Amino acid sequence: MQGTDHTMESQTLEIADLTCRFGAHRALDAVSLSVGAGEFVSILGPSGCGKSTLLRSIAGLEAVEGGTIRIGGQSVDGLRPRDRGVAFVFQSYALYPHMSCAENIAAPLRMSELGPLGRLPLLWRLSGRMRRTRESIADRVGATARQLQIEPLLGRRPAALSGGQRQRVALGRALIREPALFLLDEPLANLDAALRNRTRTDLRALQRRIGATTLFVTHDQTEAMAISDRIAVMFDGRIHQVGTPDEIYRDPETLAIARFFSQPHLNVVPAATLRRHIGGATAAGDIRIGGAALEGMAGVVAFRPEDASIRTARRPGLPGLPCTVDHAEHAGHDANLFVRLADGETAVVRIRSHEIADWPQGAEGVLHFDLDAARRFDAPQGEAETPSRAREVA
Amino acid sequence: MTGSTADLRARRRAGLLLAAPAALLLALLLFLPSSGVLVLSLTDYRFGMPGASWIGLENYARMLADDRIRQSLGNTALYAAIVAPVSILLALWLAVLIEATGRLGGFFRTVFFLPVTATLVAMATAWEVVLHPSFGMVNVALAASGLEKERFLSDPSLALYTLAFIGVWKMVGYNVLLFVAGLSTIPKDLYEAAAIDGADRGWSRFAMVTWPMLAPVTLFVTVITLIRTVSEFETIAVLTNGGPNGATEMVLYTLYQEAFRYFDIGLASALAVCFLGIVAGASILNIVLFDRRSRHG
Ligand SMILES: Nc1ncnc2c1ncn2[C@@H]1O[C@H](COP(=O)(O)OP(=O)(O)OP(=O)(O)O)[C@@H](O)[C@H]1O
Ligand SMILES: [Mg+2]
Repeated sequence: MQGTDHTMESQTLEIADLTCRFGAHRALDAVSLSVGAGEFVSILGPSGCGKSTLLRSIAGLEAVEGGTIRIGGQSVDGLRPRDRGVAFVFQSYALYPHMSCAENIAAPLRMSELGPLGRLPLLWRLSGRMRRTRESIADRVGATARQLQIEPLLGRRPAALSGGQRQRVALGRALIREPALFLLDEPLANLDAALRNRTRTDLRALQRRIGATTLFVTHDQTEAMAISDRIAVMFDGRIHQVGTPDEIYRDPETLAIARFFSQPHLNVVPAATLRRHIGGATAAGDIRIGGAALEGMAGVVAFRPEDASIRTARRPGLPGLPCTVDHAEHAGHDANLFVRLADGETAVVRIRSHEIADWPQGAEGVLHFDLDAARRFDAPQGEAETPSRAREVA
Repeated sequence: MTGSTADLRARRRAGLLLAAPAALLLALLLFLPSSGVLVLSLTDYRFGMPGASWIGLENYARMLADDRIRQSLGNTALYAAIVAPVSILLALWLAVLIEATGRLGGFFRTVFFLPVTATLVAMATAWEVVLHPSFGMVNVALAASGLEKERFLSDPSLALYTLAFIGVWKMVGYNVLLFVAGLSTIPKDLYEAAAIDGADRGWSRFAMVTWPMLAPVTLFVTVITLIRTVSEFETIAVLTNGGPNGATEMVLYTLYQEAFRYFDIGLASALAVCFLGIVAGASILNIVLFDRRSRHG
C-alpha cells in the first residue's frame, strides 16, 4: 500500500425487475435501477418500504425471486456474498464484539488472503509467505485507520467506543476490501443530530476521494438531498422516481413524493375547490398551474408552505383564498402559520417568526401562493371528497 | 453533608435489614452444616458411639492412605475427564445442528430435554433393562450380529465406561439446551457481516462468530458439567452399587457408604470437606472468569 488513500476501480450497478417476497408480502416489486461508476445514489423511503431488502439482495444476503443484478456488467446471480465484491455497512454496524478494532478492520482481508492455517495463532510464523501477508494486512489496516482518523482506537474493543467511532470502524472494515460497490444501510441513523451532519459531509468527501460507487439507504430526505448525486425514492417495494435532488424537489412525480420532500407540511387543495374560490382566469389571462389551465382541471393542487403567503386584504388581480388564522408554530427564523380556509380545512403558510404577533388567532386574511411553484397531481384514492387540508407527513 | 451521611446510614440500615433473612438462611442451611462437617472431620466420631475425641488431621491421612478411597477419587477423575468433554462437545455440535435445521428445532429440544426431566431412578432402571447381560437389547443386538455378549455393568474393565456413557446421555440434553439458548442470542447481522467478509459457512463461520460469541455460555456449561459429574451418585446407587469390586465407586457414593454403612462419620466428613473444596473451587473459578470477561469484554 503506497498512498494513504484507497483508490478502487469503481463499477456500475444495474438492477432490472428485482422482486423479493416474504410470504405473501412483496418487499421488492420489480425494482429497476442503474447506477453509474463512482456515483453516489441514495435510496430514500419511509420505514418498511424495502430499502434494506434491496441492499441485502444486492449483497446476496437475501434470496430474490426474480430479476437480475449486474455489478460491473457481470451478473452476480448465484454468487456468494463474499464473491460479489461489495462492502456492506450495517445500520447496527455489526462489529465483532470479541475482536479489537484492528482485528475487525482486518477481518475481510484475513478471510480472503490467509488460509485457515494462516488464521491460526502462532502457526503462521513458520511460513515466510504467511508472515509477509500478515505484515501487508497490518499495513493496510494502519492506512485505513489513518484515513478515518481512528488510529488511537485500534487496540480497543467495540464495546469501548462511542457510536460515531464504531461507525467509522465499520466503515473501515468496508473500505479495506477496496470493493467495487459500497452498500450503506442507514449508517448515520444511530448518531446524534450534530454528529450526523458532520459525518455525512465526511462520508461524501471520502466517497469522492476514493471514487467508489455507493448506494446509501436513508429515510431522511434532507440527508439524501444533501449528499446524493441522485436519489431513488421508494414506496411499498417500488421505486417511484429517480433523479437529482433538485429534479425531485422541484418536480416530484407523485403526491406521495411531494409530501415526502416537503416535510413537515404540504398544502393539498382539490382543483375544483380552488377554481370555486379564485375562478379560472384573471384579467391577465387564464390561470395556469404547472403549465396546465386551472379551468377544467381535475385532481389536486399541491403547494409548499414556503410558496404561500398571507395578506390582510385581497389585492386586485392576484387570486387568493380567504382564510382565518388558527395558530402559529415557531421554527426559529421562520414560523408555520396554520390557517382555516373558507370551507373549514387547514392550510399552512410560512411566515417570518417576528410576524407571529401580527396574526393572532381569529384574524382574517387572504392566502396567496406562487402558481408557478404549485403542482397538479391525480387525487389520491379515498381523498377526493376530503378537500384542502395540510397533511403532516410521518 | 451531615444530611447525606445520615441518609447513607439509613440506607445502609435498610439494606442490612433486607439482606438479613437471606443471610440468616444461608448461615443456617449452608455455613452451619459445612462448619459442622469441618469440625467432625477432625474427630473420630462414629454413629452410635458415645463421645468423640479430637484427632487432628488423622482422618485426612487415613483418607489418602485408604486404597478404596484413592480408587474412588481416581474413578471420579476418570469419569469426569470422559463425561465432561464428551457431553460438552457433543452438546455444542448438536446445538449448532439444531439451530441450522430451524423448523425441527422445537422437536429436537424436547427430545434432548427428556433425560433432564425424567426421574433419574426410573431412567437408570430402564438402562439396566437395556444393558442386561443376557436379555438386554444391546446384547441381543450384539449376539444377532455375531459378536460376543458383554457384561456391561459387571465387567470391572467395562463398568466405569458404561456409567460414563450413561452420564453423557444424562448430561448432554441439558447442555444442548444451554447452548441452544446461547446460540439464539447471537445477533443475526454478525453472521451476515461474516458472510460478506468471507466466512459464510462451515468452520470459518463457526470460528469467526459462533465460538467466540458462545464463550461465556461454554464457560458456564463447563463448570456446571464438571460439578455435576464429580457429584455423580444415582446411577451408581441404582446400577452398580460401586461394584464390581470398587470399579465404579466415586466420591459421593464412597462418602455415603462411609457415613451410613460403616458409620465412620469422621472419615466421611473429611471426604465431604474435600468434595466441597473441589466444587467451591470450580464455582469460584467460574465467577472470577466471568467477572474478568464482563469487565474486559
Ligand atoms: N425476514 C423477513 N421476513 C418477513 N418479512 C420481512 C423480513 N425482512 C423484511 N420484511 C418485510 O419486508 C418489508 C421491507 O423491509 P425492509 O427491512 O427492507 O424495510 P426498510 O425500508 O429497510 O425499513 P427501515 O427504514 O425501517 O429499515 C417490511 O414490510 C418488512 O416487514
Ligand atoms: Mg432498513
